Amino acid sequence: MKKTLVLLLLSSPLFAQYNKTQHSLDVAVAFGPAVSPSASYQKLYGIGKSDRFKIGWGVRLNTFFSGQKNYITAPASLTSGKQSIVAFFTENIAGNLDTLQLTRSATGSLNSTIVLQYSFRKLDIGFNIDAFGLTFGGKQSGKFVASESKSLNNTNQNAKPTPFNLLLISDSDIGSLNSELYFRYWVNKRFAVRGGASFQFIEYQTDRLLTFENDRFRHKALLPFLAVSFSPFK
Amino acid sequence: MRILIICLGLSLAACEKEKVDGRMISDENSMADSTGMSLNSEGLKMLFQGSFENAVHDVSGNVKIYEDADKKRILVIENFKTDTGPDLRIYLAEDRSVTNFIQLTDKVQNGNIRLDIPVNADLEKQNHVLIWCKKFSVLFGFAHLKQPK
Repeated sequence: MKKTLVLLLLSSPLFAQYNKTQHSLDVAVAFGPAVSPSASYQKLYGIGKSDRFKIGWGVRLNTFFSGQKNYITAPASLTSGKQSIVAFFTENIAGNLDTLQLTRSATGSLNSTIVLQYSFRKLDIGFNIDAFGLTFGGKQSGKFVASESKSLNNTNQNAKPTPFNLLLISDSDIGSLNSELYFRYWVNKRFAVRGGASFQFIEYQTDRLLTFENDRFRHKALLPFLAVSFSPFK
Repeated sequence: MRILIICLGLSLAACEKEKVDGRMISDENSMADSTGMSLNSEGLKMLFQGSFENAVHDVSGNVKIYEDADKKRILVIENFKTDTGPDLRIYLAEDRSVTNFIQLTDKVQNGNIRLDIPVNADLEKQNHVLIWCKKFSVLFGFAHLKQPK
């Protein structure tokens, strides 16, 4: 009980002062069935009197490496027949989904990010998401699985990362985008450790149209991550 | 964002069902195509035929492919009727999954239609006629072509 009271007092705005702005440089590694190192810079601006809630922007260089992964038909018009947030709540149209099994994935993306964060003294809870940017990476190949297409099923296809990324919400997104839900603990005024979950869309584009006049295929990866943050101006 | 969602909603609503009056020509030996030109089916060899079936929308009509003396192939759709939609196309493809398609036209209207088939079309493989909404990737209807008995 005492401990809870102390924690509540410590997190109270009476005992905390929050900077109006927060800059941070960050290096992170998401891991699991794929490895995804990233480096980012973000600048946050306090909102309200206490500045506990912050909103901001950033830039993130994200990479993604893995062995064989399944890439599923990407456009929202095919996956659910709906766009934007509506697609998120709509069931997939199974008959429209085909699979590109790439033997390797290796992409790098440079995206601008949107950041939301709330602070409790030394602890930050936040969410960031890539908004738009570019992706680069080499050509990969893999088996295309489309049971309804006799001539394309089990054929080998080549694909490159979709070059332009744009956040349009859910399956309407284009390209490769990362988002993170995180906790950050400030060890001192300059350094912090950060951890949480990274949800990534990785998208490849085949060098020809396949079924349903489509050449875009997406892999969705949910990975835990750890990071170190450095604040040069705190 | 709200404006974007409303615009998308309106665009999608354009794919909803809406009937269009068809032009019906009953002459057995001749028919008017969408450009008003007449086609005499006498003297032409019928290679394939089929009927439209619904996919996501209502589509009906009979499809025939003829070959003339110069080996030129013509696709004829009789009594064609489809729900309206944005950016409709007529494709020849290997299957309903739009595999290896060839676009025959981007002007789709009800009635009787005559279209030239490109010389590179392989009708043994590309034996499906699709009514495809390119903008929203929706298959309106399809006809599986078979050789006449």
